Amino acid sequence: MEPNDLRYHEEHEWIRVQGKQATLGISNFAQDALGDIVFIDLPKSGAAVTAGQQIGEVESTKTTSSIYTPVSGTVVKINPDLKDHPEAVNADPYGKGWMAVIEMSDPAQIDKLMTAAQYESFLASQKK
Amino acid sequence: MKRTPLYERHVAAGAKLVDFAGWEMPIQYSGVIDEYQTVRTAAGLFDVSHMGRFTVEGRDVLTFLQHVTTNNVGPLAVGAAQYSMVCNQTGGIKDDIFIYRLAATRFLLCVNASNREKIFSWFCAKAPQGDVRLSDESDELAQIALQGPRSPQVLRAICPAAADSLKPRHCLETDVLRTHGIVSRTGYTGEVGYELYLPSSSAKPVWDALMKAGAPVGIKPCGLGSRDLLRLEVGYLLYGNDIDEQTTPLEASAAFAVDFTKGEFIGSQALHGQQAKGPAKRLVGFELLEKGVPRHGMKILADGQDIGLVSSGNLSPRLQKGIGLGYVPAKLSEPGTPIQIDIRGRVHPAVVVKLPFYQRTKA
Repeated sequence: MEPNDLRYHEEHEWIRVQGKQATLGISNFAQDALGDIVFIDLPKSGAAVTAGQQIGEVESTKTTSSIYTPVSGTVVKINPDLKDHPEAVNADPYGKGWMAVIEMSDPAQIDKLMTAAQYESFLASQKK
Repeated sequence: MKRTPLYERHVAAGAKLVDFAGWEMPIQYSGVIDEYQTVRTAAGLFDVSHMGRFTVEGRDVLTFLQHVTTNNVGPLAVGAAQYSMVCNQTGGIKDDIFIYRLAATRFLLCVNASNREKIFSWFCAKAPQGDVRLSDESDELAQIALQGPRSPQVLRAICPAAADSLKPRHCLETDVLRTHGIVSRTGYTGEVGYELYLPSSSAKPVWDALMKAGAPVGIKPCGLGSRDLLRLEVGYLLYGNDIDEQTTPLEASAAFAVDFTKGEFIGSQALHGQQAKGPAKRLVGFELLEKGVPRHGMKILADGQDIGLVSSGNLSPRLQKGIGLGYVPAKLSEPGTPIQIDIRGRVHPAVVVKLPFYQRTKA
């Protein structure tokens, strides 16, 4: 079950909204599909980002996957612990594995993202 | 997709299955790094039944093998094994293989899954007139690799004869759980380890017996993901990634698998010519100097110029660095040479290093 307080993007990122700030990570499905994560390339604090843009990469022992932002704005914080402990994304994708905080320029973009229930149906439809 | 006799064991153990050369194979069970650590420190069990296994025997078998492979089979003692290559006329690598001498005129050959049909047809076409009987036993035989420092004691539980007698790169025809099989001390991980060649019907009981015997040392089933990481750290080549028909053994830094003293063989003229001039490009190992993960197909640069391509890459759990194999001009192949890797448009500094990246400490 995906956490109910988050919104989800079809590229398997999640967003937690607090005021104008959006915390971003990758979903449990994404970390499971990637396998052991060994390195995460994140944007720098202060970077301007646009919804749909690739902002980083996740490297696992098996493959490389892009991180997309589903919202526009400015990166105000990145998770400093992931540099030495990228495996936190495998262990706790919705908690300690958070990746970046974005100060949103257009909070209405959140409305386009999926709810937990919608994301679960989306995952189920992808399996077919 | 084809399935090995151990498919149900993989499903039952919760493996993630992927298509590998037309086979539905486990890429991981508990996780690539966990399996990697298990093999480096204890023992891991791999199903490698997807590989191709041929037997070849007959009075003229030695002439045949000397003709179609690059290494010298002549001095190979009964019960010994060697790494070798099969080349085309221009010296391009058709496959890299293992040759086991089971008797004076009887051999087992292990070939890559992706090349099984190609090599079998090539061998049939190249077999001389005379007594050479070639048989594709891949469907009749399963192949299990038991790898890791604790593997001798695990093997001892079900096959003490092999565990106590086998030296590196040797094999023994023996009974394993009362069925006739071949056990060799070979592998693709850089650790002490064995490969068991067994009738397909014995695959499950032997797998189960090894899992049970290995329980006290923490044995785990391992997939192709950890196998790839383990082999990369010891600089073993992966066909299709590091070598193919466009590369020669000399370019692939595998001259040790080519013996020019044995006389002519397929590709020998071309390879001899290349040897005399020195190959223009060479496969080298490299390490990244800053965090990043090189991958197959990425560009290698020197002083801003494209000089070659990465053939394999990953993050080494042992070194905690990006490591890789790739082809560079021979004059830039010396260890210590600074190079760069283009990782999706960003240039990362790297350095050519001596292979292997990792070598087990011998007890």
